[in-house]
Formats: sequence, C-alpha cells, structure tokens
Amino acid sequence: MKIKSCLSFIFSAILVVALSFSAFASEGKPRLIDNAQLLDASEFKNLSSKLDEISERQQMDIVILTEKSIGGKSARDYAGDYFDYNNYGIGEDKSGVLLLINMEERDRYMSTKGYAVKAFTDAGINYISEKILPELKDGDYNGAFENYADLCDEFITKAKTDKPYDTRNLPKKEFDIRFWIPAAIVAGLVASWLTTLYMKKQLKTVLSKPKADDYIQKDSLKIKNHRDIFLYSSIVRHARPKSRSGGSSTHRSSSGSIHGGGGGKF
Amino acid sequence: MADVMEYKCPNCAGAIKFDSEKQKMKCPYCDTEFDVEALKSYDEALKDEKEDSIKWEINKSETLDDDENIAVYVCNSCGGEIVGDKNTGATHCPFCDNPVIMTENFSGVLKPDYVIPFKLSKNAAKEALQKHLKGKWLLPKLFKSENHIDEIKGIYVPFWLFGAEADADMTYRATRVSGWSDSNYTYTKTDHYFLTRAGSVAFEHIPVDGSSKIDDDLMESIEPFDFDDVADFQTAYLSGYLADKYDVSAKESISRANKRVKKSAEDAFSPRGEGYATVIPQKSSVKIDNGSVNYALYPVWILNTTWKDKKYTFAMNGQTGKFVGNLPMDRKKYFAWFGSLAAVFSALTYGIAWLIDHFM
Repeated sequence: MKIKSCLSFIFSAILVVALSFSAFASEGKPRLIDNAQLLDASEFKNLSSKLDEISERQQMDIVILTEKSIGGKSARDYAGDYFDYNNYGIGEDKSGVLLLINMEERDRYMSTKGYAVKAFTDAGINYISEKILPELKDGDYNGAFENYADLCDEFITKAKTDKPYDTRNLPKKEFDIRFWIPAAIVAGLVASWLTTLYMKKQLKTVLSKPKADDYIQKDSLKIKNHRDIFLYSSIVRHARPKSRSGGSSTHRSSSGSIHGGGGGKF
Repeated sequence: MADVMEYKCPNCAGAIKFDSEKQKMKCPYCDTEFDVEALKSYDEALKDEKEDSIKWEINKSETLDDDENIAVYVCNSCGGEIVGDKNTGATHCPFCDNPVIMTENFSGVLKPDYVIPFKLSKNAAKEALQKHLKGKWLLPKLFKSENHIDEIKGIYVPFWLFGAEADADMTYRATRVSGWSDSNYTYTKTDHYFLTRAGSVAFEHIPVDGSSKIDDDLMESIEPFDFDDVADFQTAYLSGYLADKYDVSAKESISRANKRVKKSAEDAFSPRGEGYATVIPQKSSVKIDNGSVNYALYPVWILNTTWKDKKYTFAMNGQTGKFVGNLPMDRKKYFAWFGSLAAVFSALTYGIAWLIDHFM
C-alpha cells in the first residue's frame, strides 16, 4: 500500500512539474528556429532577441522557422501544425504569426492565429511577402527576417487602432527617387513646350475668317424645318469588375484551430 | 391584300422588306428593330435632300468723272496702279516700297459706291504698331529697333461687298447616350436619330479683298468694318491718302464670299448644342439668292518691312484700330526659353512632389 501511494505521489509530482513547464512553454520556447542554418551565430542572437522583444511587447508570438526540407508536406499545413503542436501563441486565442522558409522547395509561408488573423489580412500578408522577397531571392536571409520582424511590429500596432492594413489601406509608399526624377523631367519638358507654344502663337495674328457671322442681317434668321426622327435604340452592357473586398481568408488546420495566412515561392 | 414595301436599314443599309400591317420590323442583316413609322419618315426625309444653287446679280456702277484732282500712279517694279489725290505727292509704292511715276491717263476707273473714311490718324497707327511689338517674347530684338515705322501709309483698299439670302437645308445622323448600372453590369443605351434642319438667313456687305497686291488673309484679319460709318463716295475723301485700284473682278471674288456664307448658314441651323452626344452631317445644301454687289473703299494703314530677306506686312483697320501682322521668331531665343523653362519646371515639379510626400 505504501509503495502505491509513494508511486502515485511521485507520478503527480512529475505531472505537476511537467505541467508547470508547459505553462512556461511560450516564454521558454525559442521564436527563431534555424534548422536550415541560414544565419550565423551573431545574426541568430540579435534576431532572436528582437523577436522576443516584439512578441512580449505586442503580446503576440512572432516566430520564424527555417527548414531544409518539410518532407513533401504543404507549407501551409506544416507552418500551421508547427505553431499549434508546439503550443505557440499568447493569450486565450493563442495569437501569433509564424514565417516558414522551406529551402528544398523554396517555399515561404506566413501562418496566423488568433488576433494575428485580423492584424494580418490577405492584402497585408501579400504586402509583407513582397517586401521581403527581394532579400530572400538574393540570399540575404538576415536582412529579410529583420525586415519581416519590423513589418510585423508595424502591422500589429496599426491593427490595434482598429484599422489593420488592408486592400485600400496599405503602408505609405516610399518617396521613390527612381520614379520622380524622370517624371519631373518629363513634366518640365511638357510645361516648357506648352509655354513656348503660347509664345510662338503670339507672333501670328494674321488669320482668315471662315464665316460671315459679322454680316448677318439683324432678325433675318428664319427656321423653316426642324425635325428629329427617332430611328432605333441599342443597348450595350459591360460586366463590372468585382473589387477586392479585403479581409482575411482562413482555413482549419489539422489540430482543429483556425489559421489565416498566405505564401508563395522565392 | 397587304402591301409589301422595301426600305433601307438606317443602321447597315440592308433592305428590309415587311408587311405593312405589322407595327415593328427587324432588319434581317443586323438584327436592329425599328418602328414602321420611323422607317417611313426616314425614307421621306432622304428623298427631300436638296442640292446647292447660287445666283448673283452684279450691279452696274458708274465710272469716276474725269476729276482734275485725281491722278493714277503706276509703280515701277510691281506694276500696281494706285489712285490718289494729285496733291498727295506719293513717291513710294505702298506695296513694294519702290518709287512710283505719275501718269496722265485717267479713265475707266470704277467709281466706288461707298467709302468708310479714315477715323484714326497716322500717330494712332504708329502707337498701335509699338503696342503690337511689345510683350512678344520670341521677337528678335533687332526687329524692334530696325523698324522704319514712319513710312506707314494710309490706303483705301478696294473691296467687293456682297449681300445675300441663304437658304440652308441640312440632314444629320445624331445619337443620344444614357447610362445606368446595377450591381453586376453598367449599361449604355444609344438612341439613333435622323435630323433635318432648314432655314433662311440674310447677309449684307460681306467684304472680299479686290486687290491682288494685298493679302486676303491680312484683310480678313482686320475685320469687321462697321458699315454704319459709311459715306457715299466723294473724291475729297482721297485727300492725303492713296487708293488701290481693284484688279480682281467681282466674279472672281464671289467664291470667297460663297464659302463664308455657306459656313455661317450651316452653323446657324446646326443641331450642335442641343444635347446630342454625336452629330454627323449627312447632306448639306445652301441656296444663295439675290446677291447684290457693291464696290467700296475701306481705310487701312499699311506698313511693309523687310527683315533678313523676308517681307513682313502689318495692317491696321483705319476705322476700328485692330492691328495685325505676323512677326518673325528668333530661334536662339526660342531654345534659350525652352531650355531654361524646362529646367525650372522640372525642379519645381520635383520639389512639390517631395514636399507633399514629406508633409502628408
């Protein structure tokens, strides 16, 4: 009898300790998992602390996961499952976003859960993906991830104002010098051409008179006939383009929870 | 027994056959539906379209009396004949600036029916020229200073004055467009019409330049002349001025007056401005009738300038003061202006874009 109660006590103790570990899960778990070894030690350290800082501050897990291969699974499912089964996510709804980089297929996928589904709309995910794409393509993974972290931070802050970035409401574009310099030159040329055209016109004052309106006898205009005959009518119709309504599309992952997200290749 | 008639489709010109008892018909080629009455009216209107016809009457005028005070000058180089007061002492041809010789012979000069006396003096003409040259950015600097402004001359220019009654008859195809939309489509409805416009309008004293030595466009540019100031011709009016003799006959001048009358008549009855989206003229016929012709002298101040081997003629309406004359362009000035303005506007555009971006 004594051995049984001893065993059950030890068992529950282990259970308690194990449970307490899981309670600390989200704080203890790493937010940067570099299985594909794309970053060096110092980059890893800096990025990791950055992700931790943002996640704590915004109360949302910002996770980056790189893999050499995900065994042929879909990036969407893998990202969602990793997030769920490793118990990521802060708060009741387990809010968080995970960026998966799969080197084998060159896939990238952002998976959202909880409040992150609202904060990162389809349009927003598209925007962020496009912003980090050039760096991913170039192999500057550290640059891409740093950028990604900053953008997530910005997006979450914006979402908290109740107006998350969406189709008609994206972050302000940078002042693109590469566009404005040639545009200003063209505008200058056009304006100058119009002005000098006016100056040239000033010089020409001799113009023939095509009509004789000045010589119409007063009150001599008489209308004799004024008929409008309706012939036929034709109607043409064009389909209206459906504007993108914005918002976030979602799916259910294998664990049963709802995820948002989007991805592509790099 | 039903009537079978054949009509022309207003849309594709195919032949529509139909039974006169039916109300609506469909063209077998283009599938457009028509109202029977509409087709009938269209058919009638097509048959009504008329052709142009023009008639003129040229009044016979008297010749000038053999007045002792009048002399006819003949120009050495351009062969122009100018009529003037013997006391004018004209020594230079107003058209080509060459010396003129007086001739004895004076006969067969047509007596003008009317003359508008000079209202504005030579000083007024000189001032107007100065004003004309001011503010023209691309005018060569030298042009202003090398001018021999003093040689501006007052000339009576011979004009044929035409009066007319025009009968215009035009047909058009027009459309009215309206649109609306629902949640899935935008719709555009086009209503097609056949329009007839006809009327009459009268003209009087349309001036056509009767001198081949004076540019017709130049004379049209200083129009209009106000006929209210006109006086019956008396040789006394010529004193101090020269008068050009006509060398273009009334017959030759008619076509110019014609063109202007036709254009004015067409525009007077045009359906433009009635709210149609498109107006396409089909047929236009203008009958011009009862034309009377008069010979008149109108006052014009003329100055010829030669600059860089090109002749520039300025003219001022001696009654209203309207001043015209084409000016040369300084190419260097043009490129200088073009370049510097382009630089300024470019910088301005860039600056404004940058500012807006920074403070928005």
